[in-house]
Amino acid sequence: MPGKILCVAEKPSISKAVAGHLSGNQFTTSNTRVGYIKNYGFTFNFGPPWNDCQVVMTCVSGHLTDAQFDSEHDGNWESPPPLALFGAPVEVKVGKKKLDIANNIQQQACGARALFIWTDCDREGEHIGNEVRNEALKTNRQLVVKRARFSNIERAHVIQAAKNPIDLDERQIQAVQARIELDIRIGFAFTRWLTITLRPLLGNFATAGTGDNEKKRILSYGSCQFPTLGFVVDRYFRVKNFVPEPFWTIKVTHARDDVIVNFSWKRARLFDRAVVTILFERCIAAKLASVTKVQEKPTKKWKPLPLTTVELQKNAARFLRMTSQDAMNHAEHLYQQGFISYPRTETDRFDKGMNLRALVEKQMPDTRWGPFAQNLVNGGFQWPREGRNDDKAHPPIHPVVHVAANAALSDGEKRVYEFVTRRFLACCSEDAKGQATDVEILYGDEYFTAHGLVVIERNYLDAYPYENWNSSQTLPRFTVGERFEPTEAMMNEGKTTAPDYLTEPDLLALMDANGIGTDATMAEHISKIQERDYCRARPKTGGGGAGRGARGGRGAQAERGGGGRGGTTGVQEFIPTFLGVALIQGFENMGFEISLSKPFLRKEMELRMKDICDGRITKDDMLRQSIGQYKNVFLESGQKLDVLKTAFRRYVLNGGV
Amino acid sequence: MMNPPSPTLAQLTHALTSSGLPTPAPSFLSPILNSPNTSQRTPPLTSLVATARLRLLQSDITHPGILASTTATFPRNISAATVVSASLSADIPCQVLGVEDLSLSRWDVICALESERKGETTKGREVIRVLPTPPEDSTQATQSPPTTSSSPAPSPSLGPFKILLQDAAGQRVYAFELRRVEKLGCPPVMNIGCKVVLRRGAKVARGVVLLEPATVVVLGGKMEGEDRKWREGREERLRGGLPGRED
Repeated sequence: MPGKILCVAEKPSISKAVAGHLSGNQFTTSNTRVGYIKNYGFTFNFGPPWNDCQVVMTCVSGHLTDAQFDSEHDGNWESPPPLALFGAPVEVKVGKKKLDIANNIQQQACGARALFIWTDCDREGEHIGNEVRNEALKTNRQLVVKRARFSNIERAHVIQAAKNPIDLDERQIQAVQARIELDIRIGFAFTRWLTITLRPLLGNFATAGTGDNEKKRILSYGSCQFPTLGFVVDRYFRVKNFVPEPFWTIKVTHARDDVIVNFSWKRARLFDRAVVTILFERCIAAKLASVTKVQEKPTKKWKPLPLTTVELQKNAARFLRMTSQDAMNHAEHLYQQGFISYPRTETDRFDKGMNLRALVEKQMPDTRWGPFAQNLVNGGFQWPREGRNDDKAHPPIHPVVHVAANAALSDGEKRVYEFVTRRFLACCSEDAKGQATDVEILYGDEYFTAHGLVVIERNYLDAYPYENWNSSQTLPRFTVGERFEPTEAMMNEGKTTAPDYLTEPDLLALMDANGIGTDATMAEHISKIQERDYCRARPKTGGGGAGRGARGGRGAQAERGGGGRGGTTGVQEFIPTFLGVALIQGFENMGFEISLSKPFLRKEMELRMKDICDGRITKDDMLRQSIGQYKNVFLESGQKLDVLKTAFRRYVLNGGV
Repeated sequence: MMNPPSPTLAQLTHALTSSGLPTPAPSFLSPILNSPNTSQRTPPLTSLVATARLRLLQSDITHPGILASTTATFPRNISAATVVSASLSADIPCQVLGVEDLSLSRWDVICALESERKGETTKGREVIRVLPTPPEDSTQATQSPPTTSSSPAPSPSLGPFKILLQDAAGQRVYAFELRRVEKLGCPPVMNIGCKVVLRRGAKVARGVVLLEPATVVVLGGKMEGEDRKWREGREERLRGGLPGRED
């Protein structure tokens, strides 16, 4: 029985691409009341039990519904008091701007046999799928609801997904519902409270923007924003308070066969001049050093792991001179055009069932890395290393089709595509190989070592200019037991240096390690704290080591744009504003067991969301626990308001004096 | 059956010294031998040894009547910086009065103490909350170790350490850990008042004893008051040792 199947994607580009693939580009297009949303009509054979069906493919535009407080709690910020928001009724409704989209789904659902959800396969996508389902069921209660499971929009993959739909994951939906409710309660309660209690202390800062854009400043709180800002402030004080201290080292050099060999002290450095002087004196007194170990062994530089979102973001900041948010936007476009796989993934291992060779083969026509891909196809292919993470939803980020260097993409998109592809080819290649020589000597009571490296096969490095591995000078021959008088021994004084301000890759790594945000949202939180004027980004100056091996080799060619010559490294560093410092210091000085500026509370929340997804707890359990925790912190904060005010007077009014 | 004869002073002394402890003064041991609360039966030698050992390791060896009067002490010029190289000619019992980790800057240690105070530690990039552990108190030794803290404490630094030692005569000397010596570290790895025996042949260079596993025996122990004082004053001492800020 042929019937109609309604397909709904998360955004217009996916809906159009899927319609194109399923229909063989033979579809009709009709307008809806929303300009950018079209309904595509065609027929498709879904296989049993659906077989040949009429299809209407349409889409939403992200989330359909908004959570908001009831009218009693929605308007006035001071009454009822913010505390009431922890228990006030939250209503979930289709947003005003989304009503036409919801109507379109209701209309199209009439008379359909089934609804196939084509939202992105992640938690948020599952939740949007549920919103679509709710709308469709309003006009058609008989509707069978399925979801297509896909991680890229390459043709064969899409068709495969259309023929093997699965059910929506109710647990993921619940996890997102819980998160949304918590975010609104906690966010609104703290934001209103902070704003009404602290605005009078802001002086000139009480308004933001100038002229017509001048607005009363809102001191917003977010359970991810604050810990993110907390990392920035923490590092800022580490830099600011740092006191350099002297240390002492011993360095031994020996000239042999026209090579000057540098031996470094096994203790590296000690913070006691008298002790180092004694040790140094004993070296000199011993006159002869003896060789205690000579080790020659093959060594490797491991090829990179398959690419996750966080790694993409970190590398984009380091090597592509773009912020994590820009990188994600470019990746999103590349995904929507079907060029790369879904860019939000935690997975760093490829499923054994994937045909990676075929993906490598697609890169053979490329002028830049075609020959490298050709070599892999001709026998150089090796299965990628396997990381420990698997989100069970998406494979690591990889190129889906070949995109030529002259394709009509923006500069940023090109650079992201190039990075994704080079990373993928590197993963499918072999570790770089070399021969390492280590010589250890005993001189006086002290051990020193010299290290030599000869790179023998570059392998993956040929496709991956973002990393470097170079041969050092060849060490002359040393034999165990041999004694010699070193050419020179020196005792040197050095000084410790302050850490650098937090850079974007550092911040992402901290957020990742501490469970702040998800791969999908981390970049947003970073841009949010800048938007709120809590911290500012500036280009990192000097060669402070962040650009590890970024320059040089062929990588440099890909890095025109950015305009970041003049000594900057292209990496941004974050400095908190007085406002940001005041907020974080204020909360920290309250001396709670669990500070809002620390990642602990939010991390627990993320873990509980995972618990819901894995069926260990219910949505209600999570809401009860988390609301209780945050409400306690809220109450305690109220009691220690003076501490917060003191921090504001100190940092905002007096400029930190 | 007859009770076994009570252990004699000589037996107890022998049992202690053969387990590596310095020879105690007879006046230190007699109260243990004639303990008033052992009403009927004299406890067996092993429990007397345990008691004597514990008390010895917790006492201040500079006090009279703790160690035998024949106990060896440092030569008078031990701290002379003019002596390039020397070695000890007898086994010398000492106690630890201070310890510094020379692999860490003072600032690093101050930062670590600060986060400890805030109840945090880091494991790689992860910030971990440490639940406060009840202060170690010898009277409450039965308290079970905290099981609530899921995060293992970061492994303590391996130094090298510089320690300040004191012999039975009260003479002080610095010692440097030339080769790794097990059980040496900053409190709580090793407490202030920990007893150490420097073996005959231990090297001394420019007034600093060079510690090596072959020439040093770490017996353990703690002087409660000294240990507390050291811990409480630690951060202030570290801050005092920071170079003045020039800029």
